[in-house]
Amino acid sequence: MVKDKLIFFLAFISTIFLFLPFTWLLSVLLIKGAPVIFKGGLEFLTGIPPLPGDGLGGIGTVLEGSIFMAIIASLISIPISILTALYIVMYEGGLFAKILRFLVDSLVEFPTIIIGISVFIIFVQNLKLGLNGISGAIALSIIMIPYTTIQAIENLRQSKDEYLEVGYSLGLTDSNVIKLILSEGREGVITGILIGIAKIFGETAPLLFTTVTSFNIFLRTLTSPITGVPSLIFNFAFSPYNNWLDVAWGAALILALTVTILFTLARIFTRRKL
Amino acid sequence: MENYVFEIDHLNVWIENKHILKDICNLKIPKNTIFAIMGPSGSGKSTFLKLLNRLLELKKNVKIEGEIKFYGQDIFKIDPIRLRRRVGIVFQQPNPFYHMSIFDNVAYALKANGLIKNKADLINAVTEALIRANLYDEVKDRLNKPASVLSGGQQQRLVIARALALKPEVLLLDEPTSQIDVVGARKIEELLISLKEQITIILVSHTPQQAARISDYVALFYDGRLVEWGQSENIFTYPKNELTEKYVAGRI
Repeated sequence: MVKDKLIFFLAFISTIFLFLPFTWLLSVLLIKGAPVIFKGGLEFLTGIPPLPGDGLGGIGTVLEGSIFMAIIASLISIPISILTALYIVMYEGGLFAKILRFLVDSLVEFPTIIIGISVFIIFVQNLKLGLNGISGAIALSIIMIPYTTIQAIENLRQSKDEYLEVGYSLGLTDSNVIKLILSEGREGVITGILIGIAKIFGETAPLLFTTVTSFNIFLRTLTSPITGVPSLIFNFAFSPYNNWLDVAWGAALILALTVTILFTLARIFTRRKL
Repeated sequence: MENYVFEIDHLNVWIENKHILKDICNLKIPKNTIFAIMGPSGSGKSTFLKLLNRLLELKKNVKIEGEIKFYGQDIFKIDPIRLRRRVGIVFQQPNPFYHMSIFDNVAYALKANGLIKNKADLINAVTEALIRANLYDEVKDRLNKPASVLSGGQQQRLVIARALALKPEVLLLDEPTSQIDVVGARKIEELLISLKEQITIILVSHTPQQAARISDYVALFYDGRLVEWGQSENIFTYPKNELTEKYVAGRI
């Protein structure tokens, strides 16, 4: 009995310790960031970042850049992830499927800064793509693919276990059975995509190598020299200018909120499964 | 010959080098009957069932020897997709398509297989299948609701309706009531009895009691072997084999 209580007590204490940093982080962000956003209003979401000492402005350029890169990265990652996951699930046990699975698992833990450098060397320098949203999105998609693929594998495997035999027993052809498995596993796949987007939305290291460090350009063409919210935070937070520090806090809160919303959406999709 | 749907002889099956079915000889499944297969778990009942519509071959490392005839024709020479449309199957766990409406669950195979394209025909076919599965009255006002709103027993009848929509000649059922409550199970048993006028039913039964209640013919599998088969009343009243006697009495 005493032992049970002790274990319960220790678990409770650990939970508190998990809570502390989270609430602390959130409070600091709210205290520092919320006034900035209220002061800036809608302008803060749509405007151009200010010059040193020149008011608050906004983060419209980098927010647009982040959304643009998230969309391009998703367009690259989603088909690759789903097809890879489908292959791994349908040919489970085969040598190539095992190799693929190993690669996906390794990629998940791969340092993102190295992904940034590699994309810089291959795409920015050798293929002369330049520092822009496309290069950034390529780096981000390499980070996103393993997350979405692993989530898709788990869900499609479950869907396959449940519906492969059913599909064939209803006289479906191979391609219709695959359609059925995808369709019945789709919510989990969408969850994975949302988690993947949330993951890349806050990624900083790869952007430092693949995008620019000027923050006042809106997207005009696909290859406009733009960057995302995290690199603005990284640069502004280390500046000596008070108005830049304010912008960094506001941007950090926006980033945190966006990622939290994406994770919440992902949770809702997971729960709808049953 | 037309009186038998399936005729099985000298059948052996190995899965991953394990001998699962051992020399099943001279087993004939008569048309328009309920044929129950019983036996302790691991005796090869489900394997046998999945063999009859060639679902077993989806597994890796399956070796099949021997003869299975479907209306006199070698099943291994029939296109499996066509065979499966004629020989439907229902599994132990109710497995409707949870993302689809009740209507779409039944309509799915008809649409995906391109068998019915006209909307009015589709509605008729779905209605007919639901009526045959004794489910129509319970769901007619909520055909667009997802299948997950139904109880376990209703889901299992929905799955039966889904299989019936293809108008199969044979329905295979693998312990269809073992996961269902008593009332739901009774409804399924009544349904099977009403269906046998039109189609042949092969049922893996999880209890000898159920087999005795509803089957016309019964076979006992034990350790991959066919111990005995025949008319249910004979087998249950005068079992020839000692194993059958023990199984029916609930001693193995």
